[in-house]
Amino acid sequence: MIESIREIDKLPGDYKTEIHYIGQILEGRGFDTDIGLQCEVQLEYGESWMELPQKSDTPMQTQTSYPGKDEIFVWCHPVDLHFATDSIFGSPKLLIRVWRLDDLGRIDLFSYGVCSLPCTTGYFMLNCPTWRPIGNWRDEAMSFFVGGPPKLTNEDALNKNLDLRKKVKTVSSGSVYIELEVLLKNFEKHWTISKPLS
Amino acid sequence: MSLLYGTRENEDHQAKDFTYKAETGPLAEGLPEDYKYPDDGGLTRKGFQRKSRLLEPPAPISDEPYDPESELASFLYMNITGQIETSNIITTDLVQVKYTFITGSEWDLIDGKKSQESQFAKRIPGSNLVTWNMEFQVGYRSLSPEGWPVIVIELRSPTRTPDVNQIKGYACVHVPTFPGTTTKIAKIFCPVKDTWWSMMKAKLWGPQCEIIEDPQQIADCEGREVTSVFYSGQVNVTFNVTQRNFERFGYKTF
Repeated sequence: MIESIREIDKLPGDYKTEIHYIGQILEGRGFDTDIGLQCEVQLEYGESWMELPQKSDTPMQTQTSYPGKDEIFVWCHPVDLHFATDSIFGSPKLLIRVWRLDDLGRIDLFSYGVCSLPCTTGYFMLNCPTWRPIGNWRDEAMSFFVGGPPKLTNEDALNKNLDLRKKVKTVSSGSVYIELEVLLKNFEKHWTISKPLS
Repeated sequence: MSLLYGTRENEDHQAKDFTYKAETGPLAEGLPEDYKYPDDGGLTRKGFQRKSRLLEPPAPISDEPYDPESELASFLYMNITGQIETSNIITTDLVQVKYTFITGSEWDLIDGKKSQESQFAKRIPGSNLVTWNMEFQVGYRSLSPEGWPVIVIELRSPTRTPDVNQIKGYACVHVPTFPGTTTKIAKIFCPVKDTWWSMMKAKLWGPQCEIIEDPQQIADCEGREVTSVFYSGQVNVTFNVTQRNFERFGYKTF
């Protein structure tokens, strides 16, 4: 139980810059299927960023949603992240993979997406459009009739090595909506990063 | 000779003759005793100063300005009010809303009730909206913003047996982190069994919801990889948030 927080009693950890991301992975729109979709989200960040309290090993995976009214896929997966940093470079990004669940219980990778998280305070509704790679006419016919759309062989093309993207042909897919609120701690002493008052 | 009240001649010795207009005359007959000014001698300026010197001691003289950071044992405080307004869920039944606030382990409830149930509401045949206008008021304190409060909404409708309710869907939304009034849209999802027959029923007659008794499971991430869900509308919620001590902890939220 903390009894007092005078300046003398503050620890060096109290002066560190921290970010909270609070929100939900809301929904997906514009996907042309009647079959259930699932969204898997993986975090990537630079070396000087630290995830509190522990580093998470598994990516976040949402529930499978079937489209009801208006062809909207609802996930509503809660997101509560806490980072501590020493430098702003290498700010966190989300790698999004959308999976499709058939009637027979098969799971296919449906589309990819990358989204970088904001570093200013406020409320954000992020719209991340997704895409899927294309193969031959043979691969497309197989994926239409049998299942199993083409996937990326080297997934560094998403974020780590963007030079590999020159060799990829893609087709566009739906978009994923993420609702986030950002809280910054102690940023004013080190960087002036905040929304200007209107 | 006309007497002028408040002049130098009549300052003190005429104080007993001084009355307000309402104390005498035809308007004062029905007035209770409390509304008539008693004559303490405090109606003149000198008498008022004499009285105030007795009641209030003089303020202590200090050179340093007040430092709010010198107070002990401070927390982050938050006051959340608002209402669950309307929704565009597709039913012709009566629908009831039950809300619960769910937080992490560090947040303590100071004021208000965590969960309440509303009335059973129906929509007009021509329009889309079901209105509840259900108010909530809740106060929290904590030491860190982890486990930010979440409002979990359950939608229920009555069945033929009394006191047994059938669930239409669940929705959940985070409380906004900045002070002010905001309206948020919560999407309703309806968890459904994975069997073939329940999927056919869902496509033909509408999804039949599974019952989740603990609202903590709806706000959590665990167990979500195995559930399948239908979308059935949205709920509009407005929040009014005020905060205290967030700047002292280092957070600037506005």
